[in-house]
Amino acid sequence: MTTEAHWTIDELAQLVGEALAVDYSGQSNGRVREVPDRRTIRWYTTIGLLDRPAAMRGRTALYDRRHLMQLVAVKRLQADGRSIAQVQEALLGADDRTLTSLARLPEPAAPEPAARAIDTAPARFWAAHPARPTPPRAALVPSLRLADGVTLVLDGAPRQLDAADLVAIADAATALLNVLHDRGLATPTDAAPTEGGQA
Amino acid sequence: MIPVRHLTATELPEPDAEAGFGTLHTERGNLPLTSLDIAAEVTGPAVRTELTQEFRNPFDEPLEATYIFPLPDRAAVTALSLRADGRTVEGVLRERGQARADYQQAIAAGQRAAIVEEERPGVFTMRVGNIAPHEQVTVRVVLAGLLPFDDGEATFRFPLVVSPRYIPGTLLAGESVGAGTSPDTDAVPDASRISPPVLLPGFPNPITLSATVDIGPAGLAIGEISASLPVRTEEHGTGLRVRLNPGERANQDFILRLRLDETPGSFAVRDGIFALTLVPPTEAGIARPRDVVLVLDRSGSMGGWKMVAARRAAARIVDTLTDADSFAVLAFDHTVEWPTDLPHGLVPANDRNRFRAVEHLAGLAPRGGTEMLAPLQTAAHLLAGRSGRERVLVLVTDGQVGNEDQILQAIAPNLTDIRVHTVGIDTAVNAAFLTRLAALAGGHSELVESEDRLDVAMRAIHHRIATPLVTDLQITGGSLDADTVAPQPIPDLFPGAPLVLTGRLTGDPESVTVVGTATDGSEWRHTLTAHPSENAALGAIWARARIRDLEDRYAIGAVEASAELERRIIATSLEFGVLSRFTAFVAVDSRVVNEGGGPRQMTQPVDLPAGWTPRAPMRATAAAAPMAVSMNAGSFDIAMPLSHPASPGFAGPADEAQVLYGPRRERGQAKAKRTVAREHVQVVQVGDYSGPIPDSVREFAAREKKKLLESASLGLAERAKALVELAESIGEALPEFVTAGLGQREIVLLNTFAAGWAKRIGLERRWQDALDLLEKLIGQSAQPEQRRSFWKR
Repeated sequence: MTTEAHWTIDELAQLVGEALAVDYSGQSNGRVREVPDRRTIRWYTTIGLLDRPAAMRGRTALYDRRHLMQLVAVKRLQADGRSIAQVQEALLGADDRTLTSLARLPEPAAPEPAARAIDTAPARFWAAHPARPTPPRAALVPSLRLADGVTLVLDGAPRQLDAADLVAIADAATALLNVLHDRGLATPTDAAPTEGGQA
Repeated sequence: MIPVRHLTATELPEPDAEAGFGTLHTERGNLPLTSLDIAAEVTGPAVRTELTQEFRNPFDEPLEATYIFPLPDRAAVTALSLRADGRTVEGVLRERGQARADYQQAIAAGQRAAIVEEERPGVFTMRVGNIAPHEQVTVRVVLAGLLPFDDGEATFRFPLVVSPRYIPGTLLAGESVGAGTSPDTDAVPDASRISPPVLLPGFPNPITLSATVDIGPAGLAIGEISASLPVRTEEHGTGLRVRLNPGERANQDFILRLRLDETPGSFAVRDGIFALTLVPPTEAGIARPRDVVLVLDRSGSMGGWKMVAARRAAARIVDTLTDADSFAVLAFDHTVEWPTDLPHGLVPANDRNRFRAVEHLAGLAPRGGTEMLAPLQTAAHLLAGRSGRERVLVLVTDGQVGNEDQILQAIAPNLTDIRVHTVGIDTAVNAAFLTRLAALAGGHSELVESEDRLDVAMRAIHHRIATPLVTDLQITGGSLDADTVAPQPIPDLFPGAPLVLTGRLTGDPESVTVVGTATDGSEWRHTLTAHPSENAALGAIWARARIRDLEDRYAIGAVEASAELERRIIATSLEFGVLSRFTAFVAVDSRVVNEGGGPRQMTQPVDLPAGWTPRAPMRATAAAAPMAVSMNAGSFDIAMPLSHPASPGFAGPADEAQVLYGPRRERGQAKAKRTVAREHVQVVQVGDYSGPIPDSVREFAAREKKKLLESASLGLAERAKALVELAESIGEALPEFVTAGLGQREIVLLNTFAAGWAKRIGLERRWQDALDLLEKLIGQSAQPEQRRSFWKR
């Protein structure tokens, strides 16, 4: 492990937001004003708008100033009304000078990134065997009763549910419960008023 | 496929000076790869190919370019050269770690260098480093191989793009091992080495592509050539030259099919290596009853014509079954799905069951990820222990997965006495994986790059899943080193498919005898007399086949055997000068051009394969929604929720979706108030209808409205069913509507309806919405003032 200065994806996204808040000429389109989320950032990598992460620390991708300029440049071009395909045409392989002029990062420049330990790539990756697929192990997973006889099991959920989750899910479940009732697959309850009108 | 007409010299157009090989196109932007040239010579079944890649450094600082590219999976890479600034350096083949170190050292020392590495049997990485500012360098790769030959036709297939692959597994900690865009996972520890960045549709053609294939006169029936891309032919010596038309994009396989005279069996020897060609007997065999499990890939990457072709292929295979056979049909994406009207398990292939299976196939639309292992395991489990019958697994897919080794490793132990045939459907199919899987289990791989090709392939498809004519082949006598015969295990002889075996000789044989078992159980015996081979690359061709066998054993076998297999692969690779997984060609120019070292790095982005639609990105919530009841042909990727959960690059993010779907809702809207149905309504805000409604659509809508009203007085279940049927009809009719010129907005609305949106809200409301939609199409609205259109709610 060596040590270099980098930002995490969340820090990067925040810096993009701060950069866009200054000297941001875009006005028309609400969507391009938004700070790109993690998914967007990863998609930009796939289509070459963003260099792949500068380094990794464990499973955390780390980014540097060039990434910041690339993201800000994407957003500024979008704000000018360019489609993402046109942005790709303009930015693929752009050198630092081009990026600097497109990104118009505010002065003073973004704060210096923190020094972080980074990992090196495994040697002899070409000899690595893929993991053998393992059968799922027994585990506790969150679940939630939507109505009598209808229980939602969230076996991919990373956390237990909180009160806000319950409200949101109960609200969203109304349509599903209607369908289940329509098809005779669930008993209607107060939570799921249906055309049938039974209580 | 395009039949090729033979032009005379006077008919030949002048080569296009603008689009020719080597022309500089400065307007192409700053991508390092400027051109690809393929020059192949076909002599009988042998082919020698030179692939030339030109890189140009558009920057003011030195550059290291990385290019992830495909090569024919059976070909042996026998040479690499690097040409820059008037000097050519030949590459040397070394153990891979050593070659990488040599390359890295040269780059650090400021020298130009190139290295080519094999990531998969069909996927390679080229790195060219310390290209001086604005300099052009040329790398050349030489390949040797044999053309596969089936049903009187030899196929020259040269892949031009590495397709996006589905990458399952959990993220690995640590730095990525490659320069691609997918992070490495435990299932695909080198995902970052097989995932080049992808150019969006509309990007100007970044490279100049050229190709010539010279075909020697031996055995060729002139005029019987077809090509997957536009070509023209001209006389060349005593043979023909096929030339790719200029201006094509490197976004699909370049395929030539050559009709050849029937090959006789032969036993060719040269420099201690032999090539044995066995021709199947022409008399028909005795068919045994079969158990067939058909596994159909309906993942998101199967969109467009591919899904149609896959359904056709699968339906045809089901139709070739007889009452004596039994079968099952499994469709998979990230889940495995059985036909609704058939029991889970093998069922007799009687007319009724076949019909139900075909009906089920007709309703499959593409969606989701490509979790291929689970359905294969299910299929193997179904077939296990059915003795006395021919057990057949047919996989229909594009093969676009990154975890090939993981799949092969996990499935191999369960394929004893099961034959696996693969039908690969794509313009840029993962041929390497599909041939590996089929070869592993004694089957055949059929690759289909277009619907036209499917028409042709269908005529022979019954051959493909037929009982083999000769099994248990063994070579006896003739100073052959039986352990070195490749491929191993020796495949069976199928109708129409001659078999080529290569291996090492221990002496100087005059003849060889091959013994096998015919379908009636009798002995099949064939003796061939040796003759000298004219193919100088025979050694390389054997070495490649041998290395492939060993590489597969490395991938499948126990980890304990790894070190010994690696040693043997390296030994064979270095002895015959053929690239492998454990070796690499490296070329180093001794001149120093970059004193400081540390060049700027860039990975070449590549086209999306032809016929692929970039998956319309949607919000995660929408992506998790159920897919179309019956969305035909998948040609409406525009409104297709896509989910490639473990492959972040596949699904675009929400804000890109707005390009297609209209304005994004404001953030900060109370999240708890948003229902699933609302979420969808938000996504399909597309404004008012855009254009005149074609008459055929109007009639369709009137018809459907009548049907709907007829069931208005029925019970809830019947009415719900009527809505589902409406969604299905719309899904089926959409392609016609597009042809008829229906506007984009209407198509999005109809497609969203067909894709199941309508089923997510209360019956009364969706009933009204359906009527609303149909009435809009008909051009009248019953109660326009009472209610806002549903898409504005």
